[in-house]
Amino acid sequence: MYRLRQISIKTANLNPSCSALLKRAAATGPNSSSKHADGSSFVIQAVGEKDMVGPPDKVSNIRPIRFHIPANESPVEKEYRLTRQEVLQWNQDFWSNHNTKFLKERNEFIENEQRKKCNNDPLSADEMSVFYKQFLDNNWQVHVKYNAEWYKKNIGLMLQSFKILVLKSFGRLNRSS
Amino acid sequence: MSTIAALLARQWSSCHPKLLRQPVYFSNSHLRPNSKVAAKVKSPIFSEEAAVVVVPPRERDVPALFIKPRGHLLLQPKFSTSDIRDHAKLIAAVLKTPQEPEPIPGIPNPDVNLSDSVTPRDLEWSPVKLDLRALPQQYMRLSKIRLTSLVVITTVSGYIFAPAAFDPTTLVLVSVGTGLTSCAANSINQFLEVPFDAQMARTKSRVLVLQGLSPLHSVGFALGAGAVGLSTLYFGVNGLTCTLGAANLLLYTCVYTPMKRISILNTWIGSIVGALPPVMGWTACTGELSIGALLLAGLLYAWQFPHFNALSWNLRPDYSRAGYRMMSVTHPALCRRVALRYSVAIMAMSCAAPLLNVTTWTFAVDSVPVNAYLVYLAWRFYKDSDSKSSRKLFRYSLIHLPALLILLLISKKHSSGNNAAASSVAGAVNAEQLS
Repeated sequence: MYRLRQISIKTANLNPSCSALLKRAAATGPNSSSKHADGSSFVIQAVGEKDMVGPPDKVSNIRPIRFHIPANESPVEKEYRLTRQEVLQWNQDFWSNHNTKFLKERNEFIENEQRKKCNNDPLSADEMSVFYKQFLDNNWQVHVKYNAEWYKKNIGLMLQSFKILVLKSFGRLNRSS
Repeated sequence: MSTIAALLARQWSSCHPKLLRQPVYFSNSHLRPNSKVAAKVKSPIFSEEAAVVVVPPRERDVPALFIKPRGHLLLQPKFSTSDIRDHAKLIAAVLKTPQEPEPIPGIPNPDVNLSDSVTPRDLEWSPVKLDLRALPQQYMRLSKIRLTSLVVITTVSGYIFAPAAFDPTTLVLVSVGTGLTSCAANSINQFLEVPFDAQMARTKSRVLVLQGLSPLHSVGFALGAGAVGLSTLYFGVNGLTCTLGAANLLLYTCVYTPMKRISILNTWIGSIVGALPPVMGWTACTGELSIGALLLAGLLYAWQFPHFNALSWNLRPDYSRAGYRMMSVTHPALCRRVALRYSVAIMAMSCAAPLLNVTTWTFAVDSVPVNAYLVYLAWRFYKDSDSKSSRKLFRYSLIHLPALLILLLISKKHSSGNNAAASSVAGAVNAEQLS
């Protein structure tokens, strides 16, 4: 599962009035709910019943999404949400692996070149361009495959959301409530 | 000092001395999203005033306040490596909100210490929702409005340059039609590129990467803009212009966009995409293709190479990682050679224009300095192959194109003698331009 950062406020650090305030707001807020993850902390759910998008992952550059699950989610909506989660995870895995590989191979290349030159000076842009070409060429197939697969997944998701839109506008979305 | 400032000062002193490695967060029930607070932070490094911002309650029930030294980005890596010299001290805090905010009933003591209870990353989470007020701006970003404007400018130039009667209605229709088609092309492009765009510094803030619009919404916008744009061209202009627009839309979205990860030929395809809008302006005016349209297309086609090759030169690390097969990465020498070659081609085409009976001889003369400097910068880029020369060439290419188009339009030659009415109107326009 994707590592999502949850906002948890350690109640131990707060004085009683504050935690009371937060709990009250969480309980009475129109769209927020709270649940106790463990004895010492609790999670404030996304305000406004919306998906939440976070800052980009430091390695993959992909932004995580905290998917909101409506109480009366229909089967079609659930399927769409799960597919989105899956595609997001797939993107996260691909770019996380790929970028890690890039950094690792780049560092190896720099070390190798410096050993050859017998000094530790940073490499020039021209020297580095050898690596950039090499890395791009070695990964040609990886990218062509990823690109094709992404187009398929992206268009599939778009059609799925279109289906939901149509069902919704004709009132045919079976709510599970 | 007002209550709020006193509270802040107390909160600060409770965690003082503070390492200002990260912005410092305060939260207090007195704060409102619109509270304006000014604060001064003293530090050996950041001796200036610190920016103090009240963060609207996205996920917080209580607005948080954070302090970051001015001129330093929130999460700049440089910031986190700072050493012990960063000891900073809050010396003053003043609440600027006119009246004191009311205390929340039922909460006897709102003075709670929440400093550093949230991390900066937590505050970066935001809800995915459709903001109707921001919608026009989102659409403009989705359409890459600056690129679309450039496309419209070249179309207008093509229309004005064409040797037939000047009709303001047709000019407006062809501009709107081409502009909307360009909006559609750019939206589809972004719909297809989300994870790739996320990888590169240049593109990571695009609207779909930030989830400002849903993919379905952007495709809907593209279909709408494309349909209205192409219908405008078909019914308001002519079939040939509409065909060119539709062909260009397909070329950009279905050939150029995927080809970026497949072959370096993408730059040549992309150049055709850039060369077609002025031709559409021309055909809107004359209804047919002729040598003048080809000259315009040739100039625009050639211009893409010094422009794009210079731009892509400094993006090699990003392109390599994100899988873009750009000439600058795979064939660096070719990249610089091609930029130089096409700069020379622009010069040659400009000199040949009077011979083709498209412009007056003045164009061959007054375009020389403009083109010569482009060739000079392309040659420097070819020789030096460094980021400085590429940046210079890229910046100049942005001035070069409008300058060349203006020179081209002022040396327009009116050769259409077949249609007396057309030539008389064209003559009037010409006289106006000369006066």
